[in-house]
Amino acid sequence: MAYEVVIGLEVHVELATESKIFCSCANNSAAAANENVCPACAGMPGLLPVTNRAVVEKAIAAGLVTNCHINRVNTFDKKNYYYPDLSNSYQITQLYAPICTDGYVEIETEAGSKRIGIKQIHMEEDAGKLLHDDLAGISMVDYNRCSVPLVEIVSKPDFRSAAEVIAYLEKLRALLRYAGVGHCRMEAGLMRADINLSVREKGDEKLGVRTEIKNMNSFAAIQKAIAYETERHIDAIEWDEPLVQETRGWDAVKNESFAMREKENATDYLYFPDPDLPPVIIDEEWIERVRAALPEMPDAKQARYQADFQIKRKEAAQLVASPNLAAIFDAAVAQGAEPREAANWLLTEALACAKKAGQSADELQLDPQKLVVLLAELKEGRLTRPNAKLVFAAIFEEDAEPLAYIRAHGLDQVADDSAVRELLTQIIAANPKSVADFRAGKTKALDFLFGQAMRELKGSGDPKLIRQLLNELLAQ
Amino acid sequence: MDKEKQLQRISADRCNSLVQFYPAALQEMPADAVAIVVDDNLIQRDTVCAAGSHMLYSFRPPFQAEAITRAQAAGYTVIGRANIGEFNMAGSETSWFGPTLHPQDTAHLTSGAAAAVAQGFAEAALIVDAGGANLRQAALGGCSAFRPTYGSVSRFGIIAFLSSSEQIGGVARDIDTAAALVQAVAGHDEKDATSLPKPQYDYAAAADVAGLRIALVEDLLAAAGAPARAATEQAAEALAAAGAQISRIRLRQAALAPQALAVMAAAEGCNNISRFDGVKYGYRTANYRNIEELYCRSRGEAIGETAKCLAMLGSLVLAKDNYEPYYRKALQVRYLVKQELDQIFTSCDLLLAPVAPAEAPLAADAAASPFPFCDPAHAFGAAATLAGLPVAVLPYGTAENGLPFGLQLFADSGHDSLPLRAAKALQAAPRKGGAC
Repeated sequence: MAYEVVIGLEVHVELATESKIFCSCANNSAAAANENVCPACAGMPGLLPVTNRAVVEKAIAAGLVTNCHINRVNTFDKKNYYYPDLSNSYQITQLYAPICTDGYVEIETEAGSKRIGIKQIHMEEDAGKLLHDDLAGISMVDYNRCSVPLVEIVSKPDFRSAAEVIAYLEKLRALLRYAGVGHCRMEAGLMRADINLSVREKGDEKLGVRTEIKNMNSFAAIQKAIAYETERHIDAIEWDEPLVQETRGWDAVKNESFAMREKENATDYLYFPDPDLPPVIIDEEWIERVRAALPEMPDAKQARYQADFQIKRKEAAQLVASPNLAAIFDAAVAQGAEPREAANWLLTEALACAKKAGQSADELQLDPQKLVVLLAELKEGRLTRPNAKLVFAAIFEEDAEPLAYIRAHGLDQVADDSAVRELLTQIIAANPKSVADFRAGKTKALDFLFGQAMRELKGSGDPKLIRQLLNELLAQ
Repeated sequence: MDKEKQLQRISADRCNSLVQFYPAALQEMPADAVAIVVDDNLIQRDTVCAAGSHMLYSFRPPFQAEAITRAQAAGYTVIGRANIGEFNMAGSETSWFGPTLHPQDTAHLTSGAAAAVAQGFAEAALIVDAGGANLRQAALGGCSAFRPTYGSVSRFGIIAFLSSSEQIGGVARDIDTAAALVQAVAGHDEKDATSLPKPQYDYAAAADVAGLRIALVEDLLAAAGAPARAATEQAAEALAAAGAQISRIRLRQAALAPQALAVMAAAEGCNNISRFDGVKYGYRTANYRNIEELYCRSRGEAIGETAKCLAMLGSLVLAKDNYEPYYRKALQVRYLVKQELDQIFTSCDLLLAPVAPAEAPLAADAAASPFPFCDPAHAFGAAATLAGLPVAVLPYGTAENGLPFGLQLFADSGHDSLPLRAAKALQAAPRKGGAC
């Protein structure tokens, strides 16, 4: 029998704001435990939430880049549950009036392009973190993350494969990073996904029993979890065994999903509107201000790279995948770099250097102006390609000034052909056997002479020029 | 009065007015400073703020209520903390510190603020009125009190119970002193998102009711006992004699205000005290093996019956299937109450009603039900509270046992000086039955 998996996603993204959503503590995930904590974060009574307008702006931006409708009247609701990392015993979220509704994201997979519907995006605060010391038998709580702003992006159940899910997450991540909404680093927990999955017979209208796998934070785990859970559902359907609608966790060691405790499934969150927070009213002008401040989005950028610079689709996609890389590229091109050459250097040398230094494409730092100077030297023939790589490494590793570095290390291309001519004449004179071999038709002998010359020039010779001059001199 | 004598009297208080007393603050107080007490749910820096609950018996917050900070800046000195019911959800009989007894007759109850002011321990008290109950206790305790329009005084630093409608007010022996204290603490505060941007902060009003259109609320008159009703009618006559036009109105939707307020109080109360879980501060049970036991036993052992009942009722009205028929319905009623009162205030300036069906309750009666809403007096403050209106109360008339009845006067939002004008006029007018 043919089955179809139906998936919807809830993606939590921590917003890249300076301060938290309802208090003025710094929003900094790198801080030491309980460093960014005020009485409000610590769950003391007497504090009142005040909405950070920067959070609303990020949420508007998230809505705009996912083609959502932005709602005018925004209210907040309290969601009640007990857990020690939730210092107030309630989370402020938006249940009744989410900020964004009815959007979509276009994705590309090998099967072609597809539109994934966005049901809604809402703002909410994050909870703290529990740290367990199993040896000492104690649990500690870090409230730094309490009240860190989040948006939860709820898709429609439009996915039919893990590949579509991954393509969507990659696309969403790129859009949100370009829009400055969040850093979206999954490994750091700045982007987390809950997977809602059900299986039905192909052609069926009715959805199967749905399970939710919570808190996934890597693409690899998401792929495995979807495969595992799909199999589990199909197996139950085929054997006519009951499937329960429930929340499940993912065990990344055993690579299997597990039912969470009954209690967590039975929670009634006792939602009600937060009486401490008046509605946030968003007018057209505010939306337009946020829209005007958005940079060029990745799709438009990629299309421009392909059309204007004849950069291949794959390379263009690779460049725009990182807003940082694309920004360096744009700056280098704006300062006169030849686009295809700049793209080539960024995607090969720059990424290789970054990888060696343990940095991602988003973390690598490179002064575009220095790349421009380097490429100009190369283009003008004043630098050989192997030496250009050395200079690039120096720029990357020690922020070296390219021209000064070239001069200091004698990497200038020997462009004066009288000096090269003189050297080659000496080499020819010193190797009569090779010359005789060459003249006897052994072309390999030329390679030997060429190698000698390159060694003498310590790599700064222009290979094309040397071969040409050697041929010239030997022909005499 | 000399400070030593004052100190002795406070120390020998038989009414249990204060849960904390700072003799040093009283002794070192500058000559021109005014001594006040504050309700125990107002957060004060570096002192225990228990809100009448065992749960917070050791809670010493590192910050302070905006109203206290402003009062101090205006020359008021806090000399103690007044007893309130646990989390201010009901009368002082629910306080972990025990009930506050009425200074005129210790068989009856009152609030710590009223008892402290009535006995002259302090010139005034900063109170948090929830549902009109604290105003009512002030008036029945022999004091005047004023609660301004919701949003006039920052709620920053209230150990919250009824967030949507609780508001800080002032209690004193006369309405002028109470209003002056409120004047000192009112004003916009960016730490409270519901703080009014440009409220009417001017509470100085003349004792002048000439031409004011004042309506007696028939429903509340009918709900009061005959002696309390008679006292209110006398007040209306006194106001008429001073030049006011007196009429009578009946409430339609606003008659549902008590039920709506009960639902909201339960829901918000449940949510506001849920942060007291034994994990972070305050009481923690000595006897637990896991987090569930820590939660259940800490709360089970340290929270009183009334707060527990209220929290359970709150969970009930907020449960998934009950939200629409209860909580949302209450929000709709609140909207209708406001609408009706708006309409009423197009044809009159002030409403006049008793604060309670009778005098201050007997301590013996107070324990009858753990639900504060079962107290018939609850209905009297509901409409003005739900609509966030400015209210002035004062003692008026006397019961057979010598305890005062209370009156309330309320006006439309932002018209805070109107109830003050009428209260001052009544205070100044000669009355039958003598002063309270």
